[in-house]
Amino acid sequence: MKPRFLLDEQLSPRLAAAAVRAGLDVTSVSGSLLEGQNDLTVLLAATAQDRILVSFNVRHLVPLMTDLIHSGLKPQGLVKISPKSFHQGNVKGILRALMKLADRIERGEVDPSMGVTLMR
Amino acid sequence: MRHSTRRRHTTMRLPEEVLKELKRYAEGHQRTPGAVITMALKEWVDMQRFPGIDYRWTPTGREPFVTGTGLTIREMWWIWKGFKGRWPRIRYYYPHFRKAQVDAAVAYGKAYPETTTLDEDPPGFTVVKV
Repeated sequence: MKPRFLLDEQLSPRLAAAAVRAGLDVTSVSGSLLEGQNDLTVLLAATAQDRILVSFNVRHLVPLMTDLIHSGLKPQGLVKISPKSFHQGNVKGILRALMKLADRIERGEVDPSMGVTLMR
Repeated sequence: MRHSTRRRHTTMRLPEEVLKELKRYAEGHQRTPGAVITMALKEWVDMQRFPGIDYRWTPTGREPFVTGTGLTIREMWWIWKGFKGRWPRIRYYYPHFRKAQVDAAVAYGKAYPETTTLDEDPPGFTVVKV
């Protein structure tokens, strides 16, 4: 199944637009009603929309995702873009990485439901 | 800015209502009233020094945020670093940011570099190389 992504607020809305043009199913926290909301609200929205949340910073998200799973919800997953591999300004590199990840998820090679760190 | 770990004793008179609220908050967060006053004053001092930041609760404790966004100082700092501090590039990719928001995070990060360190990758996550 084609994965659906929600880009966290640190990721450029222009990246989301470029990803959509590239054929991915991506929405962005920036520019949506989720902008400025806390991590729990964003994670709940991703879960409600069956989207995998993509973020540079999962320190707050990991305990929240654990809580959601324990409460019976089923988050689609969490992707951490490793800042050791990709810096924020490398928008094209992040886009290419997302496209490759989407392809591997779609082929069933990667399961993001328990968390994935995306590295080069 | 260097943090001093030295503590000095002081006394202060507080309005009864403020003291009552302070104790209620301290009990609710398993802290002492002294710890709450220290936290509140520290945050107040920071917010005076760096207009455009505020503090919020997170699952890992109190953290400084960029006011008007859902971004921590650390997150804004790494956006700034990632674009090598070039405001035109940042504005292009994040058209909703104001320069004052970026500047506030950068000023705070320079004053407290320990707040800008990168997190370790979560150990339980599957590493996917692309």
